[in-house]
Amino acid sequence: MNFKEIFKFELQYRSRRPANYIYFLILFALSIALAAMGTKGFGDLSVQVKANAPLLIDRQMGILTMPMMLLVSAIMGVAVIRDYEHRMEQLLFSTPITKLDYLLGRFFGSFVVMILVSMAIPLGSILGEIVSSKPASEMLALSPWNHVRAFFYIVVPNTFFLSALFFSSGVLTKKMAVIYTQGIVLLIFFALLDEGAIEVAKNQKLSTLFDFFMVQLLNLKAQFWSAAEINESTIPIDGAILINRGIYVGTGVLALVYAYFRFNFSINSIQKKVKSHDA
Amino acid sequence: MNLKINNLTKTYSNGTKALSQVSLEISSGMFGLLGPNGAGKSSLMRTLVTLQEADQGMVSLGEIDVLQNKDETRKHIGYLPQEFGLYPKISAEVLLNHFASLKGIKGKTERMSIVQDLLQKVNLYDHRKKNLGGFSGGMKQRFGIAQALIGNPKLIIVDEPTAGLDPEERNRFHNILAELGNDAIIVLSTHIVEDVKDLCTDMAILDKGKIVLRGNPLQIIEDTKGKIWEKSLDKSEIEKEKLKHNVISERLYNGKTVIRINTDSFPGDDFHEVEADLEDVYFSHLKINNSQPS
Repeated sequence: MNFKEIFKFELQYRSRRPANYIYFLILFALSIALAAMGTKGFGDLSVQVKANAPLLIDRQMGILTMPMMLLVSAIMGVAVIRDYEHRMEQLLFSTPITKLDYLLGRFFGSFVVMILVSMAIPLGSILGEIVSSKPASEMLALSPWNHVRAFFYIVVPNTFFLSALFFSSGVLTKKMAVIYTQGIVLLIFFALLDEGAIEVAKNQKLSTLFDFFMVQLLNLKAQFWSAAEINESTIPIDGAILINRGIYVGTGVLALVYAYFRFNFSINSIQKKVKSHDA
Repeated sequence: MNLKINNLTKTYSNGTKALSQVSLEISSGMFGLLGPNGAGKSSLMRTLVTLQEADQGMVSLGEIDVLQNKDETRKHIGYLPQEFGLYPKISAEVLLNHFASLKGIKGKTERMSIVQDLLQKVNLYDHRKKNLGGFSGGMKQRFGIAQALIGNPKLIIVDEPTAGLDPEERNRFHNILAELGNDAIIVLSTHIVEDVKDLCTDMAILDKGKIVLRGNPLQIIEDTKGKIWEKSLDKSEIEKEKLKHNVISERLYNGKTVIRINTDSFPGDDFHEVEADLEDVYFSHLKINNSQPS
């Protein structure tokens, strides 16, 4: 069983790469800025709604997974590509490791790093709320739980889906350029979907089921809520939200399974030198 | 234990016939696989270490069916590929330790001691804390052999290990190979005749995917004794000589061109007999193979 060794090595290797710390700081800074600024301006909410109402914290988390997408492509894409870029593949694949240990070790090792980086979002959001210059009358008392909750049901599933997708593309194409392109295309697609600019089967309700950044979906959930309800209640994680989360987590799992079956240790006779994108 | 290769054939998707009915039986000791670039050596090596599929044929290592039972095979092999790299931002000690763990050495103390021993053996102990990105070609190659030796594999495959090394590094590398002893089967693939002459007791020449000669290097040289003739001449005369004789090699010596030919009887002219070396044998066989339709 070599999973543990590969997993451990991945963490050890990543912990020495400055890029990962820089990614964390970028996301942390963006989160602080967005939280301090607030997202109340998005959608027409009553003036009585407080700047840090649970709905707004949730939406903020969804929005922050947009810039995070590019970080996920950099961190997760390289997990397997790195072995080809550094031309380590023949040395590694002639050791008695199994395909499953190798892929799972690389995936989970990198995913843990990715989750640690994504924790910049709730940490930044909390700090942003604290340093916000908004008058106390427009704010609710700080509730770290609301940030943690939003992190677990919005940021973590989004991170998992993107991680699984970019990791799998890396495994299958072995090209960072494909992954970056895919990241940008997906970012635009999800942003348009979230804006309501494109609709799945011309049906707004159906579209929100696929709303990856969840702003529309959350707005829809709370559309008949009073300002007081928005201030006091968290958005229940049920119905469309549960389906939405299920779609993305499920698709992520499928991407990983597909990559597992398509990947093999065989070396192509014609090998090209590739540029390093080490992270 | 023997390595048996039977009728191994491989054609690439672009039509290149890399291996054509290769059959070899190799026992423990240092075996030299000699051949020009593109002869199919690396294809053969990659097939032996389970990294490439063959179209036809059989390979067995002792009782293990190499082509069918890849996972089991990989427990018993050490491989130094022709082209490889190492993670640049990590130390030799850390990476070698990682390889030892992947190769099944689970006890931490045992692993540490194996890693230290191997680093000593390949003369990298003083550089063990250094990042691999700063290693020279020779140091990288020595690291490569160290990882191939982890866990005393029964079959060690070394593909073009001295290509690109300066003479001093090459010498050092030869010494390491020579110390490996005779317990394991060591297959050394190379296009450098000297490598085989210096190290191997058994050898084969591979050209265009086919085995064209097989035997003990000294015996092979012995068989060619009295057939190699040399003449120094003007560059312009070479083409004329090529029409008359079986010219196996031409080189420059002291500004003049020296040609060697392979023939059973005295060729006349200004030829004089020279002591045959492995290079003459090698070039003779490549010449014969090239003159045949492939």
